[in-house]
Amino acid sequence: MPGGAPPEKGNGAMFSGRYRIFFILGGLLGALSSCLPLEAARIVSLSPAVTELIFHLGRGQDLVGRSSACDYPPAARSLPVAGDFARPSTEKLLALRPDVVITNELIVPAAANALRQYGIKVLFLPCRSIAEYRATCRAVGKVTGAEDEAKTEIERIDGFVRACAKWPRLDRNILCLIWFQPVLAAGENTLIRELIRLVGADCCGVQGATGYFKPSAEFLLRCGADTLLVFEDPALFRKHPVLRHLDAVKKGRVVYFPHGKLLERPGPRFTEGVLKLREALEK
Amino acid sequence: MNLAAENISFAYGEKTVIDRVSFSLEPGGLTFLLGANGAGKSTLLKILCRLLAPAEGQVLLDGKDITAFSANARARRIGVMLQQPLPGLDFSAEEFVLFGRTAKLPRLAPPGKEDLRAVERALDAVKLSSAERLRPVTRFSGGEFQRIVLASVLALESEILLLDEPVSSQDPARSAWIFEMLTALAAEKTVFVISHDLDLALRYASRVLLLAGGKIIADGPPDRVMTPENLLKLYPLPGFTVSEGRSFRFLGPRHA
Amino acid sequence: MRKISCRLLTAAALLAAAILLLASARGGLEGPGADVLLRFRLFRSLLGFLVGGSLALSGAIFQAVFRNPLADPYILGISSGAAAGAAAVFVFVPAGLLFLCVPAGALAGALATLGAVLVISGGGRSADRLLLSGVVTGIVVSSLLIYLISLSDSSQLAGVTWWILGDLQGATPALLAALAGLAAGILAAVQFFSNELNALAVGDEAAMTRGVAVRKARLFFVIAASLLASSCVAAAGIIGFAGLVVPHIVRLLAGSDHRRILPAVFLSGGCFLQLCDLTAVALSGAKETPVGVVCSCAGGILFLVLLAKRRRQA
Repeated sequence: MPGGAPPEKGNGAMFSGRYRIFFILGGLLGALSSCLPLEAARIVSLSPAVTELIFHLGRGQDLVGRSSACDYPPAARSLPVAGDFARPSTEKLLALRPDVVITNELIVPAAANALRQYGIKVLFLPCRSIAEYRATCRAVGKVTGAEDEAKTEIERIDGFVRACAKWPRLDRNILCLIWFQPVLAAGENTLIRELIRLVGADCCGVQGATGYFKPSAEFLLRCGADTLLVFEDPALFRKHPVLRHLDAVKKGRVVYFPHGKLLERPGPRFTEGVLKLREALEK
Repeated sequence: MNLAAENISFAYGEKTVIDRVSFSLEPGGLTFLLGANGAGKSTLLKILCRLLAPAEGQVLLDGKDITAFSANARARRIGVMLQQPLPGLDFSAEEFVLFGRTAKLPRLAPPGKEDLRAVERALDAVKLSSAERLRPVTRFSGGEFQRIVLASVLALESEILLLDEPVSSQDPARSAWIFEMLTALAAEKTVFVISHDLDLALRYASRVLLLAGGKIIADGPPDRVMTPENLLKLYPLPGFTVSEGRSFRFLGPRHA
Repeated sequence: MRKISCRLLTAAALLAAAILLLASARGGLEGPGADVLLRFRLFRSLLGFLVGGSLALSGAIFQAVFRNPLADPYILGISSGAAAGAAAVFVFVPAGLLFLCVPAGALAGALATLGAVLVISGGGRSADRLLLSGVVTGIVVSSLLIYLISLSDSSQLAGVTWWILGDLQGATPALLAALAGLAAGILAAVQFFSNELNALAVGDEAAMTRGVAVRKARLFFVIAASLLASSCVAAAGIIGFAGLVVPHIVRLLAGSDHRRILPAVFLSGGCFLQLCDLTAVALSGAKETPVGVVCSCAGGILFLVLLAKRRRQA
C-alpha cells in the first residue's frame, strides 16, 4: 500500500515531526489513487478493439465483461456479455461490478452518467486514427498497469508505419463503402482512410465530409474514384440503382475485402489488415 | 310532383316516433309541419326523401314507390334543406350553391349555361350580393350561411322542396321575404316546410299538418287547424294557455 | 378575392413542371459518364414530379372526404405502416434481398395498415370513425416500428433511419412507369367521380340528398387516396407536407370545386417536389440532404403564411 510511513516503534510519536509530511503525502496519494484508475482490477470493455488490445498486452485476466461484438481472441468469447457495442445494458454492467468501463463510443450518453453515480469510471477512448490508437494504448496500459507492454506496442506500430512508407505507391484512387443499404462511405477522420493512405493508395476526395456518411447520388456519380473498396459481397453493390452506374463498378474495379473487421477495428490487428489490404490492392 | 306518405311508421330503438302517418303533398301552396321538439318532424322529412327508411309503410313519388327510383332520379326531383353544419373547407358561396345542383351537373364537362343561370337565380332569390358570392362560406355568419344553404337547394330547381326550418336563423324581415319567395315558388312546386314559427305558418301556409304523439292530429288550412286547443295538444305545457292577438308582421308588396 | 382561372393555373403548372425537368439537367455534364448523370437527374426529377403530384392529389382527396383542411396523405397511419414494413425488412431479411424487399415491405405495411383501419372503422361508415381508427392504428403501428428499431443493429438502424427520411434517388424506368400508370388511373377515376367528392365535402346527409351513395363513395376515395400515398411512400420514403400544403395553395388560387382543380393539384404538387428536390441537391455536398427536410421546411413556412393570411382576413 503506497504512502504512509510506518509509525515509529516504541513510543506513540506517530504524528510528530518529520513523519507528519509522510503521513500527509500518503493521504494525498491515497486520495489520488481513488481518482485515477491505476491498476484497476475489474474492467469491462465495450469496444472490440480495446478487448483485443487488453489481451494483446497480456492483461486478459483483468477483463470481467465484454460487448457482444467482442469476438477476438477466442478467450474473450468466454467473458460475460454486458451489452452491444456502444449500447451497454446498465443492469448487466452493474451486475459485473466493474471498476472501469472502456468504450469507443456510447449511443446513450446518459448511461455514462448513470454508471458514474455507482462509482464506476467510464473511459472514452476514441480511435479514429493511428495517433489516437497510440493514445489508447497508453491509456489502457495505465489502467491495467501494463505500461511497458503498451510502450512496446507503440514502438511496434511506429516501426510498422515506417516500413509502410517504404512501399511503392499504388496507382489507385479509392472510395471505401462500408455498407450498401443505405450506402455509407468512409469520410475524413476515419481510420480506414488513414490506412488506405498508409498502404500507398490515394483516397478519393469527399468534400470535407467526416466520419461514415451517406453520400448523395450526385457525389457518387462524380467522385472520380477508380476503385471501390467494399466489405460486403460486390454483387450487392452491383445491384444498387445508383452504384450500378459508377465507372468503377462497370469496369469491375471493385475490391472486395472480406477482412473488413481488421481495418474498421482500431485494435492491434490493424497491421495485419493493412498487409492484407496491400495484397488485395496489388492484384 | 306528388309526394305521399302511406302508413309510415318509424321507431328509434324502442321508442315509436312516427305511428302510421299518411298524407299527400301537392303543388299549389306551402305545406307546413308543426310539432314540438323531438316530435319527429325532421325524421318524417328524412323519410320523405329516403334518407331514412320507414319501419312500415311507403313513400310514393308520383304514385310510384320511391325506392323504385334511382338515387340520382330522386335527387333530381327532390330538393332537401337540412340542418347543415359549416363545412371544413373554404368553398365560396357560389361553389357551395353550385354543389346543390350536383344531381343535375354533367360528369366530366364543366357546368353548362343552364346550370350557371340556375345558380345565379338562386343567389338572387336569397339576395346575396355579387361581392359576397366569392367569399368563403366559412366567413359568413350563421344566418347568412343559412341563406346560402337555402340557395343551394333552390339552385337544383327541383319539383319538390323539403325544407327543415329554413329561416330559423333569420330576422323577422328576412324571414318574411324568404317566405314571400317560397310562396311564389309553391304555386308550381310542392313545397313542404318544417317550422316553429306560428306566425309564419298562419300567414304563408295554405295547409298545416300538426304532428304530436307520432300522429298527425290535424291537417288543413291554418285558420281551421291552428286553434288554441290544437296548439296545446301540440306543445303540451301544464298550466299554460294559448292566446291569439298582437304581433308585429312585415308585410311585403303582396300583402300591403 | 377573384380566383385565377383554373385552366390558367393548370397550364402554368404544366409548364413549370417541364421547365423544372429541364432545369434538373443543370450543367457540369462534361466528361465520361455524362450521359449516366443526365439520365439519373432526369429520372430523379420525374420521380419527384410523380411523387409530389400523387401526394398532393391524395391530400386533396383526404381533405375533402374528411372535410378537414388539416388532413394529409398519412392521416390514416399509412406512413407508420410503411415505415414498420420497411423496418421489418431491414431487421429480418438477409442483406442480399434488401433492394427488392424494402419497397415491397413498405407497400405491404402501408396496405396492411389501411386494411386494419377499414376493418376497425367498419368500412368507412362514418368519416369521424374512420379518422379515429386511422389515428389509433397509426399510433399502434408506430410502437411496432419503435420495437423493430430496438431490435436493429447499427447498420440496420442506419438503413431504417435513412429510408424514413425520404429519397428520390431510386428512380428506375420500371418504377416511373408503374407510378405514372397508377397516378394517371387514379386521377382519371377520381376526376370522373368529382361530383361525389364535392358532395362529400359538404356533408354526409347533404351528399345523400344529392344522390350520392355516401358509404361507397367514401370507401372509394379513401382507397384511391391511400393507394396513391402508399405507392409514394414505398417508392421514395416519407416525404411530408407536400400533400398537406399544395391543395391549400391551389384552392386559394383557383377555388374548391374538385371538378376543376384536381389536375392543377397534381401538377402543382409535382412542381413543388421537383423544386424542393432541386434545392436539396443544391444544399448537398458530398453528404446527402434528404428531400423531406426541404419539403417540410418549405411546406411548413408556406402553411404558416396561409394561416397568417386567414387570420388577417377573419
